[in-house]
Amino acid sequence: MHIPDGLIAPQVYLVAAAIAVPCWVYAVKRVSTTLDETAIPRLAVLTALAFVLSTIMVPLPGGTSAHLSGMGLLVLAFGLWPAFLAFSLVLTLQALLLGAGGITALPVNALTMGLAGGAVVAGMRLLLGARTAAWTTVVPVWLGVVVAAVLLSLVLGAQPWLATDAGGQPLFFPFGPAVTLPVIVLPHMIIGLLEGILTLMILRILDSRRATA
Amino acid sequence: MRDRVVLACWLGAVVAITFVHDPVVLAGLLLIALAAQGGAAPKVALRALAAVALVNLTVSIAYVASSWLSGGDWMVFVLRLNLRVFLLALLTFWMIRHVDLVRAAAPWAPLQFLVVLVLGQIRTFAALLSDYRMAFVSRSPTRPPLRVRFSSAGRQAAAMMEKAERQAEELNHGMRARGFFDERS
Repeated sequence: MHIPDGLIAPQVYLVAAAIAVPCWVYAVKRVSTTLDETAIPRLAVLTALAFVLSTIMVPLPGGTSAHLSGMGLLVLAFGLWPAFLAFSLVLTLQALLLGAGGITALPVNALTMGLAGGAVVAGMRLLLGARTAAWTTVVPVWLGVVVAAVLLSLVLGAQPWLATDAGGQPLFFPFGPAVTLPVIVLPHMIIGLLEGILTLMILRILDSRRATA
Repeated sequence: MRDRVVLACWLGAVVAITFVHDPVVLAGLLLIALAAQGGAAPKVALRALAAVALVNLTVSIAYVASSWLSGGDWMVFVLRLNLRVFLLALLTFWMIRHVDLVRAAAPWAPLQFLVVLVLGQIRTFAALLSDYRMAFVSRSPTRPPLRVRFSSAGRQAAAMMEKAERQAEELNHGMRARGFFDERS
């Protein structure tokens, strides 16, 4: 769902960058202190994992598929800040190696999907405590995906209000929230549910393998 | 040094282009960018076009339709959007051809090390995933039902998670054995 270059106004992506940079600095400090000397190899493996996880397709009814974002899985397995850092690195590599997503949109994508979406997953999981029922994994992941989609829709939907030319025509993305919210959020309500179920399956498979090891 | 200069120029150009709104100026910049690609121009332009076509077409068609219904003008916006997004994609693919990320990160040893490790690990995981996919396809003479495909996706991701944990530990031991952490402390 991430946004390419050229659709977001500078006044939005520059502000997003000003918010994202301190978050990245804090995340680096948190990861360095909690993981000490193992920080670099662990972060590298986590980033590579997130990069490749994002290429795994979530099957959709009708033979189509969507990408797994992997954010919920990474948060539940490794915690919010390592997951946020890995996800941001993945977005950077996707932009610099594949031309996928945009470098100007990177702070917006990282904050909405990585930090806000991840914080929702981590926060809900914290609230649910030691409960292990299936819904305690599915619902936080689903909500994380949906919240990220809502925020992304609002950022995109704000563009025609923030930047227009003298004739009133939009300078960047042209549609307001009345269009972006249903177009982006509704499919992600289904994608989020499938990602939640897939995350639950992955964590259960891992648990059962560890139990038999 | 050259890689960092190219990377900085590309970043500066991308930011500057988002401040340009005149379709004529954007078209001029696009022509210059295409000319600067030399013989590689058609290949790079095709890659850029493939990367932006879906988003640009969807937004453009929707905007033309909504303007047509409301009787508004759409030409300037559609030209501006398509020229800008295509120009930015073209510059990005030009940068990808000319920048080696590992060399660009050379002055910052931990960052360079991270980039090297990440790129190596991506290849390892991608190969593993490809093996899993091919094995799944070869075991499925007909299209498997949704439940089976879902289960396969879950097992692929779980295998990656397991491998990731082991790889991180192995990398850590390897780096410690070679004195990497001693040099840093």
